[in-house]
Amino acid sequence: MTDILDFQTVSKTYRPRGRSSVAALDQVSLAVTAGQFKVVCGHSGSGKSTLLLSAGGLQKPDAGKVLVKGTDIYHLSPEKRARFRAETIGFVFQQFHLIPYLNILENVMTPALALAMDRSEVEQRAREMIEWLGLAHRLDHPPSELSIGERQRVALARALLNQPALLLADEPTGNLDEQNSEIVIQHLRDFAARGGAVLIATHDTRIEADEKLMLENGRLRPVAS
Amino acid sequence: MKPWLLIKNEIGYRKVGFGIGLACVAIAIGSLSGSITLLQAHEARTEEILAQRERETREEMERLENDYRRIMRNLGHNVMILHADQSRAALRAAGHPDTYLPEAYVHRLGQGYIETLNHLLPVLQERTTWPERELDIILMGTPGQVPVAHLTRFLTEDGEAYRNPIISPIPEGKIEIGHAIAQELGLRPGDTVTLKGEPFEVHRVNAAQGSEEDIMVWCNLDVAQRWLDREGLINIIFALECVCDIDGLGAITEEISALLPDVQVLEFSSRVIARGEARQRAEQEARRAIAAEIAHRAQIGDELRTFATILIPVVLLASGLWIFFLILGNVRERESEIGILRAIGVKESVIVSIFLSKALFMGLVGAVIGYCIGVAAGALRGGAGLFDARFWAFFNPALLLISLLVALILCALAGWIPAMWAAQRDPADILRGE
Ligand SMILES: Nc1ncnc2c1ncn2[C@@H]1O[C@H](COP(=O)(O)OP(=O)(O)OP(=O)(O)O)[C@@H](O)[C@H]1O
Ligand SMILES: [Mg+2]
Repeated sequence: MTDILDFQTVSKTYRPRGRSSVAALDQVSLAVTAGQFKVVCGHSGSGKSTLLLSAGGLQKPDAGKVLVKGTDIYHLSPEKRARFRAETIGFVFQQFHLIPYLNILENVMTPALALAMDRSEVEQRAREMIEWLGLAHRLDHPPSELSIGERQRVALARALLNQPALLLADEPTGNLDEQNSEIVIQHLRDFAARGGAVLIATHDTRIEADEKLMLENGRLRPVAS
Repeated sequence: MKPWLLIKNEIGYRKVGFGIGLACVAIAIGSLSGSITLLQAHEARTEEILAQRERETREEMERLENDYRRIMRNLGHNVMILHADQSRAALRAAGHPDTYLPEAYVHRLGQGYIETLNHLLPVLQERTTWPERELDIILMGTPGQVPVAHLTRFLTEDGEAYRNPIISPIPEGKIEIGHAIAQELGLRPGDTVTLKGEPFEVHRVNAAQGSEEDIMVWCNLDVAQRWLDREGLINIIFALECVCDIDGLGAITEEISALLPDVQVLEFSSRVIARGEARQRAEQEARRAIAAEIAHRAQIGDELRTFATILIPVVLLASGLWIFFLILGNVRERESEIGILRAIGVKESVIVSIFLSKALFMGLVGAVIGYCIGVAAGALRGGAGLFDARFWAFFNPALLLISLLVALILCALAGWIPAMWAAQRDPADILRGE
């Protein structure tokens, strides 16, 4: 099976000026294939966000290679990398990063800003996505009128709009109660079940996954489930 | 989905910030268009005032000139052209010149281009007696006034005679007599008399002047020349000095001697001259007043211009800075948005365009508001009433275009750095979370 994400001995050290440097990733290797649902656990500050941002082409590592669908993304020009990201990778964050002045439908449609797509087709797909996430009745509401759990589902719908091959979720349940966490995780699993590759970073060790990994001081090790 | 949706909705979402930005642009453009309009209004008003002053002066001058003409008409002529050899003492003693000029001289003057004289009246004047009545008279023979050919405004349609001659030609077989003679001989207009053996009808009795004129008998020049045996001769050309020059005599002499070398020019009737001078002085005074007014208004204009050249750059700079900080604040507020847009794969150039377009849109709307307020205020302050046609004339497309351009440049400059900064924010820093 082809790796959607192939992380090859990636290292990243933060070197803030005038302060001691932090090795956030230390020779991390990791692969996620299509249909896989993987979880990276770790304490706060262990490097989870750094790992996901590197995987998503937003944080260039100091060493190692990041291949997404076989493409070395840091060898692409920034323009091409942005386009590649728009086509191939979806993101979900702990702080949903919804745009406050756009309604739910418009928020879900924002990935269309990055790709020239037919408006009616985009809207159609956005509506389906919103319906799938059980928010069809809130289409024209602004994010501020939604519950926290609903907001994360909107963010998820947005991440999935362009039908990415890889979904990266950084603490997707970090702000959610148990019930809402369950809903979001279930949707991520569904996405994986339909052939998507999912990589979640979380400190919640209870999440079931195809493979669970533990990140500690920038080093990755498997967790026996 | 187009970036414009983001711009439009964001403006609606953060109305206050956008409103302050608009106000900044409007103030900047308002002071620009307002200053320019005020200057234009000032200049227009200056022209209006000056035109009115000029009109008033012209009317006043015309009135004075008419007065002057009336006086001239009453007093007759005020310049005599005599032979160069004529002694003034002899003239005074005899009451008439004893030297003669060819009659052709007056025609030479009339055909020549003279500007200082008008109403040329050739006369053959001699003291003699009315033999039938044994009365001393001054015989005045004249063909009537000889037109100055180039002074067409005084001439009849055919250019042959004066419109309002001081002395018309004396009709054939008629004479005009002075008041004293008429009294002495008990004559009235229409009476028939015999003079030097010839019958004449009294055409007119002239009003009493209290001068030699009262013993004058006016007849046709031919008759006088025949009687006095002076064929083809005259001895005086009377003329009316033009009202245009103070140094009358000098200029007249110069002009005349170019045409007639052996004559002298004598001026009499100082009242006329005094009037003429008064008129000249009044005109000069009026011109001086207008010049002073022009200078005064020009000074106000200069002060306004100086003020504007200081005010406009200061206001533009201040507004530009203010807009800069507003947009910078807006970028900070929208970090999360910038982060997620970048994560989604939106290009840096799109981020720049979102912030820059908003700034330019703000410039566009602010410019229109500022233009309207500025022009209205400038026009009102400059003295145009709200319901004048003049008021609306100040709203010109050229100034609108300038306002729009300045506002767009201002906002582009102020928005450029924040927009670039927004695009170059590292999305990883924003998205890594707390
Ligand atoms: N820009 C930066 N400069 C310096 N150090 C940084 C920077 N970003 C992250 N770090 C450090 O790198 C380490 C890994 O950070 P990262 O955000 O990846 O951790 P995390 O596992 O996501 O933590 P959390 O669970 O709290 O989100 C931390 O020790 C953090 O302090
Ligand atoms: Mg993190």
